Amino acid sequence: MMTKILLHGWVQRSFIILFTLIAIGVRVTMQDDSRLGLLYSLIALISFFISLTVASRLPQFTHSSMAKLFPNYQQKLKRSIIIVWMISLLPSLLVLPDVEIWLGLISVLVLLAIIFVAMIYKPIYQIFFWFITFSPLGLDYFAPDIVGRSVMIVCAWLLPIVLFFANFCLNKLVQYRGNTKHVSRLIAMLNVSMEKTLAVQENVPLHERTRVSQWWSNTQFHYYRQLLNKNSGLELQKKQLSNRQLIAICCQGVNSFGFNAYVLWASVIGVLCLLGLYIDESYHHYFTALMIVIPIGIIGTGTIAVFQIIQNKKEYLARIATTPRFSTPNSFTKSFIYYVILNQARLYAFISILVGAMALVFHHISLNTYINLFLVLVLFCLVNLSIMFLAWAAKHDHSNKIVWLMIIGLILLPIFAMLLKKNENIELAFSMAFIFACPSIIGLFSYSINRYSKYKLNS
Amino acid sequence: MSNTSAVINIKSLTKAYKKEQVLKSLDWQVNQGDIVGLLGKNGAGKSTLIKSVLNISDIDSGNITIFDEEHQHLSAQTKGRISYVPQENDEILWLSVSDLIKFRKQFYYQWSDEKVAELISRWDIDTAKTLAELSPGQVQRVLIILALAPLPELIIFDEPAAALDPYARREFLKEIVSLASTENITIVFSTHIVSDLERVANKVAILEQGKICYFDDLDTTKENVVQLIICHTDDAEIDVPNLLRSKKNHQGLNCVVSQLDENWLEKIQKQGVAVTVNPMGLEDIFLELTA
Repeated sequence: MMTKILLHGWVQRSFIILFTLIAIGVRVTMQDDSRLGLLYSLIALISFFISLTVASRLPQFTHSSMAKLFPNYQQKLKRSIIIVWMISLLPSLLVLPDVEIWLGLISVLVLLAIIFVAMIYKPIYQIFFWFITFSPLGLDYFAPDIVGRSVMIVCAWLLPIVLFFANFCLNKLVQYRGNTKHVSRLIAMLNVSMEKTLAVQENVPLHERTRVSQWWSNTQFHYYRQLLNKNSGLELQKKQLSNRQLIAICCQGVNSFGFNAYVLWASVIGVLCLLGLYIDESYHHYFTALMIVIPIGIIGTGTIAVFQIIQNKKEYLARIATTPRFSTPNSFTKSFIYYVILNQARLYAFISILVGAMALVFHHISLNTYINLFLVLVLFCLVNLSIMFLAWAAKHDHSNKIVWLMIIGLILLPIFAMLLKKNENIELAFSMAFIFACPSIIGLFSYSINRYSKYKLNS
Repeated sequence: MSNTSAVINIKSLTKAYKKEQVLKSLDWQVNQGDIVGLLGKNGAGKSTLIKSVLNISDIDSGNITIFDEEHQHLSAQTKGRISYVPQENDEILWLSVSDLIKFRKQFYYQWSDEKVAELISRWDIDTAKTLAELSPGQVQRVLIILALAPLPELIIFDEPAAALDPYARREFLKEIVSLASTENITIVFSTHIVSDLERVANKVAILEQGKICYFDDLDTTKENVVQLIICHTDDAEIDVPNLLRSKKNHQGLNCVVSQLDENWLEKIQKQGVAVTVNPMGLEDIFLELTA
């Protein structure tokens, strides 16, 4: 039963099965080692999905108030986690008959799972995420002669120690009761489904947040407060704020990607570019991981946050739509669509500029690849907007599926970008795939806008 | 009831969530000046009915008019005559009360700053604080201020006192009574707390199985719905008019009727059957009507 709950969620399971099938397909059709990297990535991705699914349920068990009352609770939990762990390691069989790589991969996957779970329980361990991100850079810098295979062989030999460590961590995990405040928030965020993750965070009052969080949110809200106060003295008939601005105020939350976030990320990229100009070009490739992770992170925050905040405020927005301000037919719908499109267009334009700036300094992509990437970003933005509008127009709540879809999209985006980089001579704008995809995606986007407009008209 | 004074008029309203039919061909009319308590069990569909009336959620079929205008196509003027206080505070939590008032003012063509100032001062609300920093009672009052500021003629409260402690609830109900008497506003409020309704409303509506199964004056309701204890020894069946429920016990027949038929009572008493008429509290009436 515990195992079933740990792996609960058909959407997650569908993606795990889908990626497993793709990995099997890649393995079966693989003639040489050229697609080995892809296979490893797929195996790591499947393992990540399983870890994510399990980690979202695990705190419910470890911090359950009934844990002390049920007989053999810890042993049962440990057994269930081991079963799930075994399941997550099954895709690694695809690298056989290379036993050394297989054992090495098991070591790496077990370590990654430990780090992932540790990150969930204690945010301080998120430092490992950056450690892993920069590990290729460090390895390249300190030991440039080491190749991937030798690392995997070392990992294979370390497997007994890794398993011993995993067992030790597991025993600690099933007994763990610490960090209750963080874990209870985590349970509230994750125990139902991904649709509620931001809603729970948004409902924590500002004055109960950490000082950093309060400062961060206030810098974001300050602009809107100023906007309200600047115009408050005017006559009522002279409508001060535009409909779009009013909707923007409604849709702000502590997780919104606002002005401060733009400044922060622009500064981070600025520093990176300065560093890139200063250091020798031979070290530029060390920054490749960051140049992928940062834009993806920005897109993730900027799109998923908007979707979840608006989904969470759907009823409030519906209430606002019934006020005299929006009595002209379609005025609310038009302003809302305008706000969302502008918000997302600004975000993707920002990403394009960042990627362009990085490309100018690091020369990691050619102009042609940049144009290709830009086109992909435009289509990706349209697809994301379409699924958001369709979800908001739906009678029932599909947030969970939509958030998963968005996460999958975010995972596929860098894979696609890497493929484009690899084939940098392709002129995407003239390729058949693009010519076919373009009208389809524009059609989908128009349909979603139309559907949303009709939905609001009827409601 | 004449149609001209109808503030809300609902005909054949139907609404379903997934496969569950929440409102089934519901008919209802609320007249000007009424203070209607909408009673119903948890999950009876009170919030659904209110949100449907206000066009916050869409309806499957039926017709709703507010101030003689179709609820989906209300004019700006009519929209300004309606206010709503939701069950849960969903206002923007990061705005201070003063900023929130400025924000909400933007949505209306008519707004009384004087009324806002008067109520803020009367209820001693710290406008520099955000809603998250105020007590639930104070939050409720801020929401009422926001609802009253556009000078509405109809206010709809969705379970207004559910989150309040008994003291704050009593204070809040006093405010409703005061509003209704001084401003002549039509008020509809949903609740499942019968004692609240008894203190405030002049009409009671009961939502049961997707329909308004009972709607009448509160006093008339208390007068009409009574318990009868009919003591008779023989096994002959007694046909009780307007019967809601009956149960045989050692005393005789214990019945509840929706309206006491005086002629029938006189007739049966003449036949030598002892009938005791017991008035009922609203809570018992509600339980009988929704049993």
